Amino acid sequence: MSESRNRPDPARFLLRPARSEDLPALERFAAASAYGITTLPPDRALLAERLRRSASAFKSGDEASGEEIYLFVVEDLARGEPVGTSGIAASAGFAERFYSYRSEYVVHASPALNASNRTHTLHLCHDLTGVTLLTSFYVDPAYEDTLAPQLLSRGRLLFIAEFADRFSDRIAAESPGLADDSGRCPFWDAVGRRFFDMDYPAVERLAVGRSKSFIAELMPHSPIYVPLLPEEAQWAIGQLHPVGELPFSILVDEGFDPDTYLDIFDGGPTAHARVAMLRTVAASREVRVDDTGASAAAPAAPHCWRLAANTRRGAFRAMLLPAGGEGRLSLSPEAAIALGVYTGDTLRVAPLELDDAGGSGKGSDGSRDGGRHG
Amino acid sequence: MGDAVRDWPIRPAAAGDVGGLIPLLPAPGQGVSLLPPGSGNSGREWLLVAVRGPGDAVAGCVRVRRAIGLDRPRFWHHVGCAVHAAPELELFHRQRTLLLGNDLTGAWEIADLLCDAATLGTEAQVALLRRLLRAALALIVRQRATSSSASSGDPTVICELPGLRDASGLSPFWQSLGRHFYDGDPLLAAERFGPAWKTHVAALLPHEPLLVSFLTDEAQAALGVPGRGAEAAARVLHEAGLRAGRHVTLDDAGPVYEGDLDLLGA
Repeated sequence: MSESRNRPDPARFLLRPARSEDLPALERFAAASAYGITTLPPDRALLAERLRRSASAFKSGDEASGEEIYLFVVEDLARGEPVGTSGIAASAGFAERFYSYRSEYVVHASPALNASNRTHTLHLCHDLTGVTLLTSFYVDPAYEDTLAPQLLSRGRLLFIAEFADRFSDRIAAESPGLADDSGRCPFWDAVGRRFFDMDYPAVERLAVGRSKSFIAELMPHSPIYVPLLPEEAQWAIGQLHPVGELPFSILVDEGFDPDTYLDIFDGGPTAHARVAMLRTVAASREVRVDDTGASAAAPAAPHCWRLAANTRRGAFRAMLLPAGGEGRLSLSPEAAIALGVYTGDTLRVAPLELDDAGGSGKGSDGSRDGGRHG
Repeated sequence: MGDAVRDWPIRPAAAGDVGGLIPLLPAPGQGVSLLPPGSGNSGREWLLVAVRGPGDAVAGCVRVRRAIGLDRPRFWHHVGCAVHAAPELELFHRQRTLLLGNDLTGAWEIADLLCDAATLGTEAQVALLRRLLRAALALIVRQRATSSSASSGDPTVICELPGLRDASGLSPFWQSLGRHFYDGDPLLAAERFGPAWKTHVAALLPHEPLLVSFLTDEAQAALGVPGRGAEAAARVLHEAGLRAGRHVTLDDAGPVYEGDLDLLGA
């Protein structure tokens, strides 16, 4: 935890809706994350279109249709520029079907042969159609070891909690599966390729600007018996590409189930959860701002920080605040300005350190994540 | 030889024929049901033998079963087709599928269509098998005409042939599919349980449609191909108007010949 001395002050990060001026930054992020984030295509026109759609989703006075996408950026206030982005799609698949593979196990037994087997099968399904999707996570590598990724990922959850009627009560997030730099993807090569005769990068390009379901409908609809796949493909099932580790570990700590659903193309895990069961959402509560004249002194330990978001949709802001002041919420003037709140306004807050996350019952991912931000 | 074959009598098997039948069998477990000693001619199952020469030596045999799968469930893989097409992408994929099922339940079955391959030339084998098959079909026609049992009226007749195997009895189809679901030795199990082994192993095999393209190239190539020693039987079945292709056996993907008794003109 003493490492935090070398880290930037967490209070200098601000999560806000992406704006049209953020286009160059998004282009930079898209180019740097060329692999694996189809919702962040390295294409200026497509990104500009996504920014327009996002702006109207944040501002629209209409009832939500499910078509909305929300793009956020996290800004380093000390530098005055975005250092990461994340997004939400209100309803996966929207008007189309959202395809996943669901992992199931079937047990067959033959008493006469005194034999039984437990076979892993993958079922093409539409289970996640209509659920809210977390998308487009990218953070500048220089900020990976700061608290910016926590704000970037979990600030979205505060937004969803605040505007629950605009989202599904279920939530999912796709993560990139295993592939090498040349785009060779063991899961695709063993499954999708049998139906497409093209390599994975070619299908990814095909998927840009087109619904994935269009391609999914060409996939076989009968279950895949995993033992029939080549060993390399079996190993790739549910395996995460290293670039996805950071956002994935944050979601697993939140309580997402990483094991049930897979991406139908690359076999990467599609984590899912009930929104109300997520730790940040369950622990969040609305608190009145008591004063805005507190000193800006930063505490050292992560348990002394909390995530805080205002309750406005169009002018949404979230940041990390020192947690002190028992029963009272005191903001520094700088934080009050950044969040756009005054004394008497409401903030939705959640502890940065979650009670169970990183505890002994969790895997090494959880404790590593806690250590990284300690 | 052909002349002689034409004159060999074909009659119901008797208890004394068992010793003569054993040498006709291929290596144990190679997809052909073993002949239970003393198997006689019940109302459900008949065994005919062709005998030759002064010693009445058994030169060939054929078994007929009525209404199969009604006492013990029988399983086959249905060979189907799935098409995935996307004109916009210029994609058109036709795939074969396999689906485990009891499709041929209730049919008549011709089994153990065998002859003495060791001493008969190819043409003589074909001639004898042809006569045995005719005798079996004639028996079925007679039974259908005279039996009062409703199950005798089924118009379908089938004949399973053993599939491709290597010298040690391993089937490429089994190596690609079955062994993932039953890790025991299929030859030992077949020897121990006889034809019932397929019923037992079916409980362990996938019950959902399988895409054939998920199998190895060797297994795909073996699908519905008669094994060595079964070519002559395949030929006479085809001549008689039976056709393979819609089903394969579930252990070694041997062809299942099927015919409609009302159309065969037997």
